[in-house]
Amino acid sequence: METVEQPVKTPPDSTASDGRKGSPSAAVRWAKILLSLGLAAVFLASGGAKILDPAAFQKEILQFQSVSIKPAGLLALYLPWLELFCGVALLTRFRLGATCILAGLMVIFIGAVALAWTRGLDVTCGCFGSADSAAATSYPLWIARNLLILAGLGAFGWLTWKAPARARKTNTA
Amino acid sequence: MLLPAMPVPVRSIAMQIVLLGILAAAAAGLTAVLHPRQPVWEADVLRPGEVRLDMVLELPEVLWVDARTRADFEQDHIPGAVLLNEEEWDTLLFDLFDAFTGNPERPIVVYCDGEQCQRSTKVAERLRAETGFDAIDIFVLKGGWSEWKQWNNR
Repeated sequence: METVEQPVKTPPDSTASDGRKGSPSAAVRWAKILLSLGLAAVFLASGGAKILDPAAFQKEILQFQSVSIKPAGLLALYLPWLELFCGVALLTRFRLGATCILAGLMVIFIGAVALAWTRGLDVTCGCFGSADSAAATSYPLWIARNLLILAGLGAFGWLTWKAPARARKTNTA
Repeated sequence: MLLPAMPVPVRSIAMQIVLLGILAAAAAGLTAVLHPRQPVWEADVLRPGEVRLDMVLELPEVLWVDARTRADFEQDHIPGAVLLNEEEWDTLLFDLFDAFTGNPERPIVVYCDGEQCQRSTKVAERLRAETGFDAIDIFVLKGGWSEWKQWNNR
């Protein structure tokens, strides 16, 4: 008897961008969607606001007294675009790479704020361009906010990385 | 091959990181060429709205506005300066108006701690935006209080 090979049906979201297979549960999918949208909004707003005025962002960087004027100028040109592209990439197949970059940036930002705090500098955050820099110095708030974003990135990265593998185990059980 | 020894997912992520970095560098390069609000590359370049102390000293009369904290102001300040910072904006603004009544046409020069503080820029921006001092020149002193002290100690 001739056997007809049936095509294997796979759920639409069964293959991760890096080739790992599996189907995350609905709750995990929703968590990933919400986290990616929220984080993308944060970094699009942050990067976009700074792109509008690189000169002002350079001054914000200089306040931290960690880099001289030329590196501050280069960072003022580069960092906002990196945030913006990573914000967009969180919604694409490049999300894990973007998450790694943004988590690294957040660690650096937290370190810079903590260093300024210990040195007793009177700085403005400038995290969201000129709108944010009008606020008074509040180191605990900035660090808490950055830690929250870092935690969000960690959760998003973990869900994106682990969920397909976990779902695969569940499906085969 | 660029990253031969890594497992596939790690290599994929590394490639994403490199690509995003290159994209941002390209956009930064374009910004450096096309953007009207360029960063400055030399410390002695004046930004829009900034003045050097020697330029201020040539003016017949200015109203100094100290944008530092009250504690710093009370410790020492430029003679005749009026305290105006963002923490106490609503109350201190009246003092500025009082100080202004004597000679309402003199330019305002705002200063804060030094080269890298932002307070003077913010206060100058708010003065321009919120007080209707459109007809008056409002400057930010480059180098701020540090520059003043250095000049005084010569």
